Order: sequence, then structure tokens, then C-alpha cells
Amino acid sequence: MNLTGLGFVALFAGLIIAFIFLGQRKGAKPAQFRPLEALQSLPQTVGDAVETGRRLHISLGSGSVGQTDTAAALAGLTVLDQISEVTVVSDKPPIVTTGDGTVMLLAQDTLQHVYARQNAQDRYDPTSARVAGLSPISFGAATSVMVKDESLAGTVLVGSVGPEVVLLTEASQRAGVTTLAGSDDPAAQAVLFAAAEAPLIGEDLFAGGAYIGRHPGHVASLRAQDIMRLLIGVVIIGGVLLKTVGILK
Amino acid sequence: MKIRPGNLLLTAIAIGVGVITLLGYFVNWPVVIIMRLQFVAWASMLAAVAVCIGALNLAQVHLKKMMTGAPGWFYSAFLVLTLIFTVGVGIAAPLAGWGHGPTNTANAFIFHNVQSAIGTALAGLLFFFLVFAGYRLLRRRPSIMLVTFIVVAVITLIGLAPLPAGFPDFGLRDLRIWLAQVPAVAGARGLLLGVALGVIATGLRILLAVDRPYGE
Repeated sequence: MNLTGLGFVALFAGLIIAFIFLGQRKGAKPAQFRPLEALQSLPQTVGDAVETGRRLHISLGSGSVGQTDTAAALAGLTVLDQISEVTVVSDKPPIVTTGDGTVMLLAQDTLQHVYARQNAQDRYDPTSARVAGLSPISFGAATSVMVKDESLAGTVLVGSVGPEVVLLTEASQRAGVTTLAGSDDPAAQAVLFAAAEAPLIGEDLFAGGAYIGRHPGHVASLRAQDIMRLLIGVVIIGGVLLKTVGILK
Repeated sequence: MKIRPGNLLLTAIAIGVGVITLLGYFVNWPVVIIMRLQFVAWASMLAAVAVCIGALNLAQVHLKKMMTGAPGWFYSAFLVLTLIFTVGVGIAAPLAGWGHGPTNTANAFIFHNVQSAIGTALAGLLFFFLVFAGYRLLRRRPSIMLVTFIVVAVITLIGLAPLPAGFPDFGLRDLRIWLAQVPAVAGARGLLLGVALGVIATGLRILLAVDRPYGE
């Protein structure tokens, strides 16, 4: 039985629950976050798309549900839910692209709920959430063509992609379209640092819900992540010191 | 907020299945392990079905684009025709004596000579796009991070370049090896640690019903 792993998960879950309750008590101070250019410039990108009557492209990457990249796709769905709340009322609703059928179904479901919340079910088009390509490279190629064909105002990519994301960012640069993007893959993060206007590095990918919507659960989860990161850091440094002085074998 | 019984049931199922699957990785109870393996097998089966749904969605989107004459309709028409052709070949293969299943001769021929070749060509193009991206980086407002990124990229490129024998490298090869083995590994591990914490937090939010991607 792996009690360490179980204890780690239980502590993490306990911290999230504790921070949810702490955040909801009377007199609780609003959460302060460090500046993240990609997420802070998001409202402007969304606003520009609505005002200019052009489409916003929200990409959930080529990751799938049920694999190791599930969480990245789910982080993308959270961002989709919050952004589309604003953009569905514009003349041109957003286009959502994925590289997996399951994520596409979840994206369609998310959009349908957003349209229902806005009492605009009649405007919902199931093909606005679509599979761009079933392999990573075909996904990159298809989304790059979409930038020109669909006259996009901006691209927001939150999901799992590899270095092929450069096909999309380069097409966006040529068309003068803003790209805010983040991936869980370190190689793609290096590419995005060079190629995207506003990259999301490391765990920033999972912070969208807390930064955009200020949802108490997401804010609590972000605080719990900070505590756990600190704890892991202390354990790593402590372990190195103990090993250096010969206490740990 | 009004909670519908259907959504409550969905949430209970999602949490139950999630908790059992998670527990299956940590405890040695045979019942939990069997249930975890069964849930994972079902998920794999659903993922396979999702590939078919994805292909159908792809066809639907491009068929619509083709019919309405939207920008790029020609490429959509090409995609739909190749999709029909490939599926047709797959169905006709056993009848024409080209073998059975996904690895029949005709499908293997298309995969190796068309899909694989195009995929490799596109992957090759990535290099040029990356070079352009690097060039554009030089035109951005300078910052410490940007300068560090460019300096490291240049050292890595020089360190990997096939310099002639006896040509002085001014210690850049050794510096590249040190950069790759020490700061780059430390940075990558830091990033992966952050991503892993984000992944766990996302999973736990679903188990705690904070996020419900399966319905409102």
C-alpha cells in the first residue's frame, strides 16, 4: 500500500477544501495573484473580437481525455466556459478546435450550456466546436490554415500541444492575430516563449479559472498548489542537505 | 442555484468512479484494483469510439465548408474525397485480396507513402518556422528572460555545430553540455513539477465536484 502517495493526495484535497471555506467566510480578503500577461491581456483580446465582429479561436490542443494530457484539456474547457460567456453574444461566435473526439464532445457540451445560460440556444452551432486534425501535426497544420480562412481576431490555446504549435503561432503572426497560448509540454512551452505574444509557462496553464472567473474553487486550488509546491521544495532541499551530511543513505 | 436530480446523479457517478480509480493506484485491495482496471478499460474503449466521432465531425465540418463555398473550400473538398477514398479502400481490401484489418496492404501503402510522407515533410518544415520565430524574438522589447533565452539558444547552436577539427570552440561545447545537464534539467524539472501539481489539482477539483465538465 502506497501510504505516502495517498497521504499526499489527501493533504492536497484537504487544503483545497480548507481554502474554499476560508475564501467564503465573511471578511475574507480577495485573492491577490502575481501578474500573468497572457491571462491579464485575455479580456482585451476577447473584447477586441466582440467589438470588431471577428471570431475568437479557442483551441484545447491535441490532447485527449483518458490519457496523461487529460488535465490540460480540462483546464482548456474551464477557460472555454469563461471566455465563451462573453463571446457567444457577438455576431461571430467563437470557434473551438481540438484534436480528439472526446474533448470535442465536451467542448460542444460546454458551449451548449453557455448558450443556454445566455438564452441563445437558437444561435448554437454544433460545428463551432470541431476536431481540427486527429494527429498532432495535422492539428497544427489545420489550425494554421484556419487563422486566414476564418478571419480570426485572436487565438487562445489552453491544452496539450507539442512543438507543432509553431505552425499556428507563425500563421497568427503573419495575419497579425494575437496568440495567447500555454501547453503542458516543456518543448512546446519553449516554442511558445519564442513564438507567442503571451505564453503561459509551467503551471500557469492551470490558473485560467482562478485568474479569469475568480471562481472560489479555482482560487482555493491555486493556493493549495502554492502550499504543496513549497512543501515539495522544502522536502527536496531537506533531502539534499541530509544526503550531503550523510544522514540519508 | 437549482440542482437537477440528473446532474446530481452524474456528479455522484463521476466522483465515485474517480475515487475508486484513484484508490486503485494506492491500495492493494483486489476489489478496488479490479474495478480500477475495468474503469480504465471502459475509458480506453470510449477513447477508441471518440476517434470515430472525431473523424465524423471532421467530415461534417469540411462537408459544410465545401457545400457553402467558404474560404478554403477546395482543401475541404480534397479532405472529404481522400477520406471517402481511404475508407473505401479499407472496405474493398478484403474483397480485392489485399488482406484484412487495418494493416491490409492497401491501407499500409497509403499510410507509408502518403500520410507518413506528408507528416514527415510538415515536421521538417517546423525547423524553418522555429528559425523565423527566433528571428522575430530579436525584434521584441528586451528583457532579462529574453536575453537569457537568446544567449542560451546561440550557445546551444554553436555547441552543436559540426566545427572542423582543430577549430577553436572557446569552451562553448563544454558550456553547452553544462547548460543542458544542469540549468536546463533543473528548469525542466521545475516546470514539470508545477505542471504535475496543476494536473493533480485539476483532477481533485473534479473529484470534489468543484469542476463538472460532464454537465452543469
